[in-house]
Amino acid sequence: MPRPTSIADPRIRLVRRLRPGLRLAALADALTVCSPREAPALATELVELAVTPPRKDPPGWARIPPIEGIFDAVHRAGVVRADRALAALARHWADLPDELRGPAAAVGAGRWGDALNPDTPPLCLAELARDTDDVSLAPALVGALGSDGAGALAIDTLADFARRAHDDLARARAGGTTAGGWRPVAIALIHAAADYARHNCREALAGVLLVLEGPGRRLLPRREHDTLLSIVRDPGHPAAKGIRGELRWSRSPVVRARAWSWLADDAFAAASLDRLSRAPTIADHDAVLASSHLVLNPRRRRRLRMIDLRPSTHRAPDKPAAIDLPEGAGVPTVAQYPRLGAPARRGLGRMLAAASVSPELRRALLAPAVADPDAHARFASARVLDTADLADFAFDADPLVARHAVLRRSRPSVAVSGEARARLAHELGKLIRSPHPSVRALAAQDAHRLDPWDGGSSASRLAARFALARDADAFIAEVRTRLLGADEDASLGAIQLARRLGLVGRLRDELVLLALDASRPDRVVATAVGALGSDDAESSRDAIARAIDHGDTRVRANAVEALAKRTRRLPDLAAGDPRAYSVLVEHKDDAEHRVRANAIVGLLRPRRARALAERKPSPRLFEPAATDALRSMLGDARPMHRLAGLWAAERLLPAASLGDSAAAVLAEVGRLRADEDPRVRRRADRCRARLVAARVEEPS
Amino acid sequence: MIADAVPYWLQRADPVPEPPPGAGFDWAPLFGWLLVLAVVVGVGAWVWWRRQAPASERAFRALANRLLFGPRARATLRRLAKAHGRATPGSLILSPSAFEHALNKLRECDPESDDATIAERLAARLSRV
Repeated sequence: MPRPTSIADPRIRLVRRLRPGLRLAALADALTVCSPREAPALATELVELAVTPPRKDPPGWARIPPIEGIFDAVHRAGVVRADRALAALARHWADLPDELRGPAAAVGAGRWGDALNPDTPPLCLAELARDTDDVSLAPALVGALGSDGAGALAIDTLADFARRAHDDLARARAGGTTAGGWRPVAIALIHAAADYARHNCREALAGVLLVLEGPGRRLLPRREHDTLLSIVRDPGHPAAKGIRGELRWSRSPVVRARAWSWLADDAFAAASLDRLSRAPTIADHDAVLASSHLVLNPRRRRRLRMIDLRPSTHRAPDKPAAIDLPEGAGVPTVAQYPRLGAPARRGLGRMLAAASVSPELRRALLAPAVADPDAHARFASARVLDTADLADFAFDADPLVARHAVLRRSRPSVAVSGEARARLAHELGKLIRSPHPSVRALAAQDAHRLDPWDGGSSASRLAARFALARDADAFIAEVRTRLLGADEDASLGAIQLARRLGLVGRLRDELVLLALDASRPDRVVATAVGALGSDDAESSRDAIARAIDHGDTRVRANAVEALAKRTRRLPDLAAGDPRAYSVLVEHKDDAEHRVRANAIVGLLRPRRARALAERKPSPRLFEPAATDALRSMLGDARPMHRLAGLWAAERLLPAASLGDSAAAVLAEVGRLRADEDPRVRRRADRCRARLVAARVEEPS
Repeated sequence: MIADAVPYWLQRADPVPEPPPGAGFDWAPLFGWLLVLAVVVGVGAWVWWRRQAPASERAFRALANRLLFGPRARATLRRLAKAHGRATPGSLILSPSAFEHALNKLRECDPESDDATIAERLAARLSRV
């Protein structure tokens, strides 16, 4: 091993001639009083003495226990001497030149804690701990707390050890691994708490806060943890006051996280509240908002509302007026939002929802969330924002965020009108073209609910019912306008809506007018005539009667159907309304299949009403002529008549309207299953299936 | 002569004289062993006595021996160390600055002292080490 350069000094040469033990003493004494210029050479020699001697094994022939014991003893003596040299270095650490501290720290790595002497000056101890980064020195550092000149350094070093232990344990917990070697730190923190009355260093208790909760808790066995907790909870113990002070005034983000955790604890609530009410750095916000789930605790939530979160009254003259919090408030300002970590941005919404914040301020603080790159953060913000503020979220790139926003903005009824409705319709028109299928579906449903004139949609009909309930006169006036308008589709939609909403009676005059207006399209007239079938008024009856002779077959068919509908409630059609009866009988052999089928159904259906009135089925056929007409229709040579006959049979047979003739009709239906026309065959199959399901038996 | 006529193998040997009475035990070996034992014990006691001194003192003695310092020089070094206040005699040998500081202190206390003169000579000698 090459000799260090200090060999040039004759005094060093002299001291090297001494035995190691005496050399150690001479060097240690000299280092105490030497000048800074002389110190490097002396310290170098001391560092060399501090190197642990390698263990020498006896030769093979001498490997017997007594001789090996001698070798062990020699080695142990060398180790003890090296440790004494380390202790001497530690005693003079403050005098060591900087260039020697690194090699000395390396030589004593892992041995400093054992080699240390109790008489080591506090300053040397603190500097040694800082330079060597050896956690085994942590318990000894407690002795340096409160000393002049070294106290601050000891506090910083101890706090650094505690913070690194906490971070290491947190990483280990996140990675599913174990972190060891921090036990001396835990012991030091217990001593620091127990000895608080002597050193009175509040900052030294920051580490205690770290090991009492969170990942740092794994540093302490349960019994020691309970001991430490009992110390800091005991109101009579000096450390309890110190820990509250540290909780209140510490600038560490981890301590703020601990304050958030202990907010539910009565013993620390006041101090925690003070710490939570200010957050000078982004890290402060990150530490607390990442644990936003703790707000679910009712006690913590209640105390969180005690934090004063009022908008800033100061406003820069060159900036536009915008609502915001002052810098350093308990929650991040608008400008701070982009600098928060992803977990904090995800928790901000939940925290603002629980805090005592006005809706305007909440909206302003969460406004940047719409441009957040993290979908979870956007979703969390969308959950707590008012529905009026979710318009932009509905167009989010993430399907879940967009769907959530659209769902929250979705209305069960059309509760808007005028300009707002137009705006909503415009927005829904865009959302219907969303790239997300779920959003498109929801927007389509909303659009239907927004439009009460789409008779084909149940949502639209629901919207119409809400509109009618909200303002019946206005809605009926609008229906009337659409009825009489020139738009054929609008008229048809309005007629259907009037029928479904039971408004035929209130719109009777308009419907009669339509039914009698020859200039109107036949579809409109036919629909109007069909709608009048549910009205008992005389004017409706006349309009229907006149429509029976209309030139268009659809109008005539609807007129017959309306007539049959009006007479359905009569127990006996022939006696109750001979005029209608004669019309129906007349048209049961009509050349037009629709008219013919409607007439047959009209003739046969009243029997059902009578049977219902008598509470028992009648064995007698109501109208044998109609039954014969139905059988004749099923056997007609014209396919459309057979098809219409099947339609009529399908509606009559399950209700047992045909009585004894049912089996014969069913036989006809069975025969049509082999019809030459495919449409007839399909309808016959369906009809038969319904009849069989209704237990109508075919004749054997 | 008849004696000459007697064959030599018939002649009688001279009689061995009897040891004097009272001189039957040889003390010399025992004395030798006791002397060795005494030396061993004495050396051991001397070593023990030497090791009773603090390590600093023993280191100083070792250094002084190496430098062939006489009793007067050693005594001067002890006085210098005392004048310094924190230094040991051995540390004054290894640290010229501490030696100078101690010498200044000694001069301040007693400028006419012989110790100061001797110390100056000692310093000159140490500078030639």
